[in-house]
Amino acid sequence: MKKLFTAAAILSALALAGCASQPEQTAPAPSTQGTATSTTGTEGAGTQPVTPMMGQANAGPESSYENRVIYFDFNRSVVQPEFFPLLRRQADYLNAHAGAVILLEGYADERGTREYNIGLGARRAASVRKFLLLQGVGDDQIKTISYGEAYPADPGHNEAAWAKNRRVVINFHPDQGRSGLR
Amino acid sequence: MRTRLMAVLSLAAALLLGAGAAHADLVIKITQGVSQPTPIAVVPFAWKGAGTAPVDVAQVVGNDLARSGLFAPLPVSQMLAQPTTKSEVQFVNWRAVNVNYLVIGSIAPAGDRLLVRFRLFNVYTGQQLLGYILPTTRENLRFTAHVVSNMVYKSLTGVRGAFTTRIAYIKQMSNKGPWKLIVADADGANAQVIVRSPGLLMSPDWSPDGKRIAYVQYHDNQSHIYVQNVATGKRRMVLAHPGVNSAPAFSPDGNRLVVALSSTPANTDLYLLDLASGDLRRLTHSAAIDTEPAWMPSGNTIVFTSDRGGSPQIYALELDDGSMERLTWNGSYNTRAAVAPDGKRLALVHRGGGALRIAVLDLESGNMKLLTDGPLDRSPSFAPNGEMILYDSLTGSGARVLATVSVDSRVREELSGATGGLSQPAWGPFPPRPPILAAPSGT
Repeated sequence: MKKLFTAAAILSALALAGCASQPEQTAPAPSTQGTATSTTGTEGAGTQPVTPMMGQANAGPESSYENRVIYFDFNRSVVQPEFFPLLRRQADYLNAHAGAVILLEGYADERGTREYNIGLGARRAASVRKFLLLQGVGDDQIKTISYGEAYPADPGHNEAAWAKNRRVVINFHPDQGRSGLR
Repeated sequence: MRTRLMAVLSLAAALLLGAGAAHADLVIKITQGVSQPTPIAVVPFAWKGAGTAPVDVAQVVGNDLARSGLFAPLPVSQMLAQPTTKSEVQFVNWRAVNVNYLVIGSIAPAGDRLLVRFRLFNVYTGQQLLGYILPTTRENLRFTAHVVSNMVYKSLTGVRGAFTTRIAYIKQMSNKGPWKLIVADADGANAQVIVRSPGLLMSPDWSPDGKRIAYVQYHDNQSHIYVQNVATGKRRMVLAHPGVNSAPAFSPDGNRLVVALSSTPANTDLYLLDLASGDLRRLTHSAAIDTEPAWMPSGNTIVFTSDRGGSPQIYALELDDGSMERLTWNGSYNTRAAVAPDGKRLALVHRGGGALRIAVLDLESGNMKLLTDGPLDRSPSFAPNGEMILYDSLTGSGARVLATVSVDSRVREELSGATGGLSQPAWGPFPPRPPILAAPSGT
């Protein structure tokens, strides 16, 4: 399943390459949304998808951690095109479930000062929020919080660990607290 | 105060604190001192009461002086004599072991008080440099020992000692918490958990009078800024703004906090909170991350971190007219400034070669000097005498510890906890000066 998504992400990224090769601060241009819809469609990530492996959905409250996490470059908050399909699937779910509310948890790696990292995590969560809003998700369905470098997904002190920690996690159960640690 | 504080602590924290008044939460290791520390002898003080002395004053003083990195106290086992009065001192005994200075003293009960007498001598001239009586109590005897350290240090170095001060820091028991906010004496003794939190705790900052601490606590999917009275444990939530609530810093008059809040979900800006009225005034309006504010001593200028120029750098904001000046130009990452007590320099975090290191920026010359080696040195805080910088560090074995470095980078120490990772130290202000009586005459 993961392979399929990776392939889809690459396809999507290629399709977007013309207009989004230099993504700016925020979400993709509206012209990419058509591509998004068709990409989503071919993945079967609609409201009643073919049940994926492990019995986990790829969108909504039951989706796995891999389907709820967006990674970022060092000191950057731009959503990379490879995460557009994931976000579109989650946006589709949220659009189909107007009562669903998510908490976007923004995180940073430890290679910064802690309070600056709080600002960076907030900016990352806001980038994801803006992307979802552009997909039609209601403003009242999205809350954000920044934990900065706290709650690392990987406690290591190396590039592989840092890459896993620069992230936004979509939490479908905000009432159950933080979900950024897998 | 102690009973009240203990009552609000959980059982685990109470057990951890233990019963000992001088419970040490930190183990302090001098990792680098001056090449020729001054030899000094601090002779065990005579105890004139029943039983044994509540505190080994000479040991506390010797440890303080050793921790400065500037002095090498003579081990008691190498002392040829242990005089406690002036008439008992024979300088030849101290010249023989190459000691430059000598401290002697005694502790005598006087009603419900204790009187600590001490003298400081120059061994080679035989001259008495100091002689005082310090009235105190059993409970405050350890504090009084630090007062003796301050007086000896001031006499021999010309610099006000910071041995009576306290520090605050965060202890994290795992990556998922819980977190503790701990206040301890500068030598790690008397550690007390003043906040225990299942959610993230961050950014402690002392009020200028040392009575309150502002900090950030996360609960209910929201960050909050609290101001807590250290002695009573009573606290007040002063901000729970939607989004980021971060980096509180008390103004020099103690009446205001400068904080970093979300102005939009994406954007963190500085705001000024009046603690009495609750009035909130926005100070910065850029689309950048503006955070990590610190006050200049005048109270008219705030230094802070901003990435408005493309990379995070330190800026100064004049409160009177809103004018701004960029202060750091060396490298692509300079953040989280702390202001020296005299306002003449900043300690900050500099990123270079993949490492985060503590640097000092001289504000007049613009020169920046790196003091530490990294790889992850952060959260600098000046001692109130401006001589040392306390910060947090990651050791080679992956432990998160506190460390100090002298501003001339000659003296370094590591302060580690028996458990948990330590971070975000804040060095508290000087306490009020204690009573000191006239120098004793005769013996």
